[in-house]
Amino acid sequence: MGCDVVLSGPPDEAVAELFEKRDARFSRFRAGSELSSVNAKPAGVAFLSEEFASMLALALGAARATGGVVTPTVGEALIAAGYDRDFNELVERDAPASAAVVPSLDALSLRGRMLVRSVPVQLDLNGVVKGKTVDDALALLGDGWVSAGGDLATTVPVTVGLPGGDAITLRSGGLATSSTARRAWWRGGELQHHLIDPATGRPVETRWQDVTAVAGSCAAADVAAKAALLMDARGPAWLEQRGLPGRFVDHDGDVHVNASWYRSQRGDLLAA
Amino acid sequence: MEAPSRIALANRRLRIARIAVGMTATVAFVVFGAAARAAHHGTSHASAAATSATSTADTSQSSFDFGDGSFTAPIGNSPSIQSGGS
Repeated sequence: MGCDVVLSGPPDEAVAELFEKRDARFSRFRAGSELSSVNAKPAGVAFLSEEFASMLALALGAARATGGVVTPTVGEALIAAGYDRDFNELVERDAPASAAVVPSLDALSLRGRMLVRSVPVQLDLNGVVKGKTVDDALALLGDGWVSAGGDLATTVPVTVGLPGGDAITLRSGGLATSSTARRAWWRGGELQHHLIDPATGRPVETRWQDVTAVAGSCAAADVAAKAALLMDARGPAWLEQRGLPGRFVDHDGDVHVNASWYRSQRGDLLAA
Repeated sequence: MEAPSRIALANRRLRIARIAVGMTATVAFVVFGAAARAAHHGTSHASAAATSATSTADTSQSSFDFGDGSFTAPIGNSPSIQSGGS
């Protein structure tokens, strides 16, 4: 998945195998992946594996929970922005990036393992695959914590460094940070990144460089962080309305937190 | 026993062809109807109660639970993990 996986204990073969299998199934860049096969015929009916259908259902649930902001239908927009190969193989190109229409969720109907697309849709499931795999890896371990690229799930207290230098101790659930500064590349002299605004079909222009969210699982935290970053000024309140702690770093490096984050951090101090 | 006439043989072939066409049309109608039903959210709800198999439920409408995590100010030494950058 293009990121380091770290566990609380010694290396675990089952966890390594899980990450490898998920990457093999859900990578946009592996010719033999199920996602590549589904995207090769982007419209009409496709019959999916049980695991693919389950992951897509999770992605569609996340999309509806975020008002369509974190959507799996951004594949074409990512390609238009230049993210058309494995991130490590991206090189600066002179051709400018373009926008692509991000299909509405109504273009997709998933019934069991049957997916029907009423218009061509290039799927990208990155919004949920990494987080869900972290959660599933933790379930395999039973106890401890699992981190992939700094997004994690835990059942034990673990101290986590945050963008800009702070730290917290996560006691349970998941934490994830979304950033416009990572997975960014140049195209036609303009910096692009992987977080697509469905309204424009381009990488989002937002005041936030990094958004960190805490939720019940790594997948949920990742979706929450992405949504809050994509929502720009509305992000902190959107998280707050759902009782989700959020921490925001703007492009000047200033740190902002919502009330839930503040309460969680202060709670321990007040109890002492 | 007298062999069937050419007209009788032709009639039999015609009957078989009609049955085959009828069966093909029926199967095509059922498949088309199922695909159309799956593609249109608005019409699928009316018969949802009659659909007992969970495998045909519309999972496009799955809910998503954010749940609750718990954290405090940092306890202990330097961080075990650095977050920042998915």
